[in-house]
Amino acid sequence: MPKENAEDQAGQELKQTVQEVTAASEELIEKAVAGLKIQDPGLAKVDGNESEEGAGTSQSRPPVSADASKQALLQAVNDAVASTRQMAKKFAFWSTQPVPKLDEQVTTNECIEPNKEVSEIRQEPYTLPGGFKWVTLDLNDANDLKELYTLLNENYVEDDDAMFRFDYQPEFLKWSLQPPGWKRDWHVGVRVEKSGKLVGFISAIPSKLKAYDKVLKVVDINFLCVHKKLRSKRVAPVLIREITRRVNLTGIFQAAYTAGVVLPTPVATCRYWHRSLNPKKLVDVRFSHLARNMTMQRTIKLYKLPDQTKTKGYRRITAKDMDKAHKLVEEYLKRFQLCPSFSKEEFRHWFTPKEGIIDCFVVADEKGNITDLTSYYCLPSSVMHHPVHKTVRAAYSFYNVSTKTPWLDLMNDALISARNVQMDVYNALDLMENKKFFAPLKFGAGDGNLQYYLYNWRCPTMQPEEIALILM
Amino acid sequence: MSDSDSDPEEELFYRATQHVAGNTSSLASADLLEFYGYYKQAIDGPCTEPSPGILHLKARNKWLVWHNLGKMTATDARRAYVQKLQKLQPNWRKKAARTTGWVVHSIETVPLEDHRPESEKTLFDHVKENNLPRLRELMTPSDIQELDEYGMALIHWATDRNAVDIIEFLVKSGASVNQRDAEQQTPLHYAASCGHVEALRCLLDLHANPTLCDSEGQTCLDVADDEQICTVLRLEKERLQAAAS
Repeated sequence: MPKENAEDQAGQELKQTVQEVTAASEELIEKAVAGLKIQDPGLAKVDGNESEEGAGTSQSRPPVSADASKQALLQAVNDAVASTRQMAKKFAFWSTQPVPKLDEQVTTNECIEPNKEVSEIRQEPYTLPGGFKWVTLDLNDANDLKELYTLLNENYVEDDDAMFRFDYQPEFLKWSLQPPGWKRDWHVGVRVEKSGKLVGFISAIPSKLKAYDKVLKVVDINFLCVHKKLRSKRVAPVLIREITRRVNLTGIFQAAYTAGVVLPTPVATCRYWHRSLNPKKLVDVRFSHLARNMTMQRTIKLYKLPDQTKTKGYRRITAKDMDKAHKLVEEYLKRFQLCPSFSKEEFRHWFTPKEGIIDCFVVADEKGNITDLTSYYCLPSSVMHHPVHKTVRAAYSFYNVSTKTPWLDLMNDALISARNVQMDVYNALDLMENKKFFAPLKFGAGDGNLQYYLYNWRCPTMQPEEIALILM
Repeated sequence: MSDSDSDPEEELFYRATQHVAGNTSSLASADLLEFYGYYKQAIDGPCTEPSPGILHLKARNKWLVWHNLGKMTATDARRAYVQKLQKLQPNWRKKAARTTGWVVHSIETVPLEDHRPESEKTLFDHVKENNLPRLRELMTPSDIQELDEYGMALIHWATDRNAVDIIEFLVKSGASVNQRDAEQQTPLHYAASCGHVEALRCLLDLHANPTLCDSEGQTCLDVADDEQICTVLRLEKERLQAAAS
């Protein structure tokens, strides 16, 4: 019976792949044909050059004949099929996973695969390439934590030419990987058998997520990282399968994750925006760029902020505020189509200020009601190859709620708070209501998109302003 | 995880083909043809197709570049493709990588402005780009005093960009180290308000006067924010007072 099942599944996968290839070919052929029209003048130029050499042909060159364009079309089809093969290869792994296909029209809000019984789930870990072994990291152990820090610092941003690398601090990693309900079993590492060196990692944390009208028990998947030297060994798919297996064993079958790259299939595409707090340094390290006719002098004036925050009743959140603030945030988040639902304990974990990790401010009115809240987490980036600056201190907008204080006032105070602890830049995604304050508060668009994904869940795509989920 | 499935060289080739496909307008048609040849060789192997008729020029040109690669291996064709792109657009990987990584590290987008050809650049452009050799080549004495449409002289731009070598060159060529802009600001005002310690020290070494006021009555110390700048300026003030008494 298991064998039959496997064959059936293989057949199914094959069928899916064929469908995908067909669909992708059609699209590519369309593009190729469209491209041909644009390229025509360019190629004609080449023809012209050639005909100068062969004087004999220059006279007799016919206008673009139906035959020639047919041949060109055939060529385009050939090219399209060839590059489709590459595409299919690129998503060879994702085509085996319960995720929507890239061109799928989704109108439902439901799981892709039904939940499994524990007995149906593979009991033993997936097989790693020879010479590597699974480990479960203990982040309370200083050595394990340091190793994870080093792995991420050196390998998380894969682009070896990158000017910036995330520098997740050890205490930040503990905060983001040990929220209420965290499991050690979900801090999955891969070590080299001989040397014991940590070369791979993936993590899951439990969470409750609302997608449209349904509330799901999910995990947030994060910190998938494979050492540079292992990139060709197909370790990442094994890590994803293994964390899925471990999570499935606890009766959870959905997950949320984000990535810069487009995979099958984003539920939303968000973009980072940046607000300079220390423009001179940002220009020096080439995080920002002066336009040709812009002076540094005017730039500094433009981004200058008042010394002190302005909103009456604006202050750092305290332990006593937690229940009121929790209610405010929970009530507010419900209006979005994709949002977390925090328990009291989770809220306390995520919103209690920790120096250099997370900060949170509220606005309290005279009666002691909490009317507004703003929060950001701190994630420095290492600056590669700069003689003076080694680090850019970045604040990342977390969750913000405005019910009484206007958005511009609240967020301007958030910027001042961040600047006052020497942050160089304040980053925010264009989700929730953030677009409302970007232009007036002088945010500039970033060059990278962040794709939001759900695993084993299909639902219609969302606009950034329908999203209220932040993963570090 | 830009790549979960292929080896790094294939991945690089794949990224290169993506880049070329997305940037056809910035590549010469002769280069595109050559890319086409390497691509076919890498994907389909040596050309065994019959030559298209002499009348089908486009198809024939494409066939020719492919056919001329003879028995080149797929690996060599991939390498040749990447090397060609590397030669034509040395920065292509930076651009490509920004959209393909599993992990995104966003930075501010580069402001959109026309790429000005070298021949159309003004002296001010060369200063803004910290290009001393070009400035040295093209500057005439009458250029030194001239203010641009922003009311700034070359030395103000040089200071704004913290371009110490250019400041020294301009002053040696006859520029006043206390040159005023349209708002009566001196280079020291620029160095102080921008927090450029290097430019500030350079100007003071060239005997710039820190007591001059701009049209709002502010000295360079008044417009400074940076602590280090303020310290340097205060010490200079004390030194001048001591020298005077």
